[in-house]
Amino acid sequence: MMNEKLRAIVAEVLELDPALITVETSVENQPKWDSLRHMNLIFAIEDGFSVRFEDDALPQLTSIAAIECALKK
Amino acid sequence: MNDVKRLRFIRNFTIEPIEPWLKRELAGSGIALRCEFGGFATAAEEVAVLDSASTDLTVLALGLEMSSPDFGHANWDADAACERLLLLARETVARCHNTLVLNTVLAPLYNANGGAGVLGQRSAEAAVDALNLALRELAAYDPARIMLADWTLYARQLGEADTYDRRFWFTSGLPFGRRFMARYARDVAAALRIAAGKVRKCLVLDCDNTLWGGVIGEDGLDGIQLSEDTVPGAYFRAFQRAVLDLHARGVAIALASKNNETDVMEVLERHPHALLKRAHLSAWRINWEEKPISLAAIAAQLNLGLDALVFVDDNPLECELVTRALPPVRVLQAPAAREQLVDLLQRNNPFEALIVTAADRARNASYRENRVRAEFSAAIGDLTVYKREIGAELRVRRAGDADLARVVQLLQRTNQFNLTTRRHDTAQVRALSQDADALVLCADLRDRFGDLGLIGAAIVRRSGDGAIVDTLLMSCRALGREAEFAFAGALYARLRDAWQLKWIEAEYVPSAKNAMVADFWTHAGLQRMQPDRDDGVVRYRAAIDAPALATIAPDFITLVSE
Repeated sequence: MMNEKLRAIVAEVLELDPALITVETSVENQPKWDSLRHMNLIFAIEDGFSVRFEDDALPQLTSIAAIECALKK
Repeated sequence: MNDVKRLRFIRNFTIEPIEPWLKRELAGSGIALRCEFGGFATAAEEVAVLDSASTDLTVLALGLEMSSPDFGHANWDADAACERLLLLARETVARCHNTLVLNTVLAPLYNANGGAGVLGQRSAEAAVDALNLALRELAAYDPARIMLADWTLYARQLGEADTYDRRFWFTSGLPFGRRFMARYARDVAAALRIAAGKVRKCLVLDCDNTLWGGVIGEDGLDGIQLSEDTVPGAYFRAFQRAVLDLHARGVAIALASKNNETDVMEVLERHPHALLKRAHLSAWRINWEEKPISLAAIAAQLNLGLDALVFVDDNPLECELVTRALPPVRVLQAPAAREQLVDLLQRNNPFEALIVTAADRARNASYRENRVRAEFSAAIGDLTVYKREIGAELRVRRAGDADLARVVQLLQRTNQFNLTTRRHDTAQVRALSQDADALVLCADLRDRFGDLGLIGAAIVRRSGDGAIVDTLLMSCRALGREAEFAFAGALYARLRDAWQLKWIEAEYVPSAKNAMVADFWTHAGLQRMQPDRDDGVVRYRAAIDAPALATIAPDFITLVSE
């Protein structure tokens, strides 16, 4: 089950229909997830979940699965 | 209906992440954004060919850090970098004719010499301070049009940790953190609301646990907390003080509270520590109605749109209810951490304004006088008798230099009684006021209850032996008194007698808000021209000596033409 708050944030930032977002959604299969929106996404997630990702984690956070995993840490 | 606004960013860093925050700031405002971003290293070239005609707002977003790889190091030529940036800002001000956002810049966070000065050389900090001072003066050159996004202020408020975020600087070209970008977005959004004529004008306050601690209906006058000697009383008193600051700036203050009216008024009038008094209020709904109903009634009473209201309540359910029922209202929830109430209004700054004019400061007196007028009217009953008894006097005169700021402000924000909604800027109005073939008129209204100040403006252009009305508007404060017909009558007389013209033409340009004046020109004696144009603009015309034009000024308003 995907985190619904995360789904809402990703949908807003990537301007996608929330229903189209799954744990498999990633930079590879979602053309709207470009480098600029990646930055926006990181900011929005940090804002929404009151977290801060370490800089060495950032390059790996390129899929919903990876972001969910990082949020659980 | 969304009003699409085009924003142009001329920048030297990755400012794109501001866009989601801008959208959040403008949610519910009816403004939709179209952002255009210039190149990273082409700001000078873009400014050189800047044409602001196709944009609603230009943001010149330039920092020093981004303009030189030597920034902050011992070999950085701060004077040269500051001079380049200032030249660019000056050229932008000269070339941009609509609303413009400039920014102050941040000095290096650390001194390259470890705090030591270098003999015979101005420090980088001093150079940056001088640049910021020059930028402030540049913005003050036309405060109705230029907003200064004060990066130094954001940095002071946020501190190092929330101003900068080095994770995206080296790889993505963004030196700032998300809180800084959110703060910046709030000011850019405010400039956009001003440019769109959508400024907020009225603060509606809950009472219990917002204006004072406790519940007046249960705790009584002696039991509520409002003393400045103790907390939490001091928090609420500080909040009331901030409310009075807004009142002094011309923001209308209203109450929406579920209480007995006599209980609330007793606090305002009799509590020894109450700063907010009944006389500060423009309207109130103290009853057991749901808050959205009270807010809608307050907006209607003050002739304001819902998007002009800001609502503060400590109860999350009430906040949620208003947010859902009335999306255009900006809702601020009084924080559960009560000490944060102290600067809630300053922190969120929901009442955006580029300039505060004398008319702003006087506005609250006139809202209040309107209330007294309404009570007087209710007592007298018959409206025509009332209008005669009220002794209104309208002074119509050419706008002088001292009037320009207020005239431009009316052009910016008058939505309802505005026949054409043309948002001319200061430079344009000044040019028109000096043009021998144009006439910029303004009107002041007063009556036995007080002086409403400059409440009307008209712009007319001569065309051969006739005249075309470019603009006619009246502040919503002055509506419902037929002063608009007195104003039009004075305008006709001037064109006929002083300019000796033969005909007059005017237009009604429909907007989302000005339906109330759709038939104004017909009522003011002009004939509708046929056929209608495809774009919805309706044109009117009349011979200037037509009898209908000579009699439209109501006889109960004394007209003084200067």
